[in-house]
Amino acid sequence: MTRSAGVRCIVFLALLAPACAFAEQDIVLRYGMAISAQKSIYSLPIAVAEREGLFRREGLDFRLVIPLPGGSDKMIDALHDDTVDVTHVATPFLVRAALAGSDAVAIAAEFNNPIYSLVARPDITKIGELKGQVVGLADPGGSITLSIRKLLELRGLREGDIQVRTIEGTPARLSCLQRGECAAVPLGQPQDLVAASEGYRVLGLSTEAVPQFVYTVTAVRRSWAAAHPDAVVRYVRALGAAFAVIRDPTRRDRVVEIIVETTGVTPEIARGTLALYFEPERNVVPMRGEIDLEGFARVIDFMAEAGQLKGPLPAAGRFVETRYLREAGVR
Amino acid sequence: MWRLPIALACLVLGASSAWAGGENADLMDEHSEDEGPPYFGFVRDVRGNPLKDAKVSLKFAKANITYVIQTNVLGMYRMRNPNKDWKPEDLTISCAKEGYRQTRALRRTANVGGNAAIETECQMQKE
Repeated sequence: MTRSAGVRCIVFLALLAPACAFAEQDIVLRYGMAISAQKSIYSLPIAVAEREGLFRREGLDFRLVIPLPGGSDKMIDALHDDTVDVTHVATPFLVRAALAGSDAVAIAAEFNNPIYSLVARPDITKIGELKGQVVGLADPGGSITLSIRKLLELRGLREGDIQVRTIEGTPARLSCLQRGECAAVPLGQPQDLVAASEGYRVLGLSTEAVPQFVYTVTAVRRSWAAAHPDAVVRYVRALGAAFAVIRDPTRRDRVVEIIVETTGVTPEIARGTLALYFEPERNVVPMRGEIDLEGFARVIDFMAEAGQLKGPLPAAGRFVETRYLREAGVR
Repeated sequence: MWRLPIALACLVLGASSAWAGGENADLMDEHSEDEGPPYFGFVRDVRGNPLKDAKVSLKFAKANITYVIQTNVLGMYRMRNPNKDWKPEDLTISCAKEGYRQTRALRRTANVGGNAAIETECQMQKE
């Protein structure tokens, strides 16, 4: 090679380098999480995907965004005002937003069949004793409240029998119970196990009263997803891999470690939470993010029962886009 | 130098607990031993007028978490720092509002130590 040819080669490579670097840049993906979920078990799939490098492996520059003051009903708004690209959302809020004109759809399931424990002061021994007492519930239109109301009904308490205080987020509800302002509250994991270990009494589980349903999903605007299909497929693939880690018994110690880090509970409570989900299998954690359309339709039925939906009920398929799951290799 | 802003912060934080509003107001007002110093600040235009509904992003790089909060009618926001291990020097602040571009973003850390509030300030210019 002559000297000038060598120089030309070096110049060519130098020109090419930035282009290569650009091609290797990760895709930025802003994921919205409600602040009430940040320290709860419902952040587990995302925490596992982040800490195990599953987003990086898919070439995603994953950014966790928490809109404030937040609230489950604000997460779809965060998609529309460009605060986030994809978001965690409880299914009824997605349905409500879509019926109000949003083009948001579910692209993957995050949690099914949530197990909410109705936890009461130590002196209350059964649900009937809650008559006339203050019970801290979540958003009136959400699946937590709907399932706990069904549990109360099952044990003979009607809507007017209790005084309801609306409190978003398991940590805030636990705090209400600890302050003595609430006689009972529904708590998710791991706080229900923590409360029980402190002497509070578990009066019942939401799953005693409701059939299986899709609890939380990742949602995205159809228009955004259509313009960024690659990012969505990569996200879904990483989320699916996180579920595989959570479900893998050989990775149990690592998952316990992540629960301890994200929620602040002891390893024993973290293990107890996983035992509650998997021993026996309670179909709380999706296999790979698949969306059960029947379970989704059940949420629509709950909403109708609660008087939130009227007339002919919409089909679940209207709120779901399975294309990205298929492209990510999830059936 | 920062005694006045810090004193103001204490007044504002003490007097406006109802301001945060929204469904998570009670959650945001929870006190925890794990919390770090709270943040508050203002978004103003170049003439010093408060900008309502501006989005303030507080990014804690080490945790890869960004909190996004909107300013109130006074152009102000406030937020509790959920983790005492997240130091102010790890924070990146940015502001956004439709029709405006950010011209300045500052963080002021008090010299008094402890859990004194940390003030931020954004200046925006009309595009």
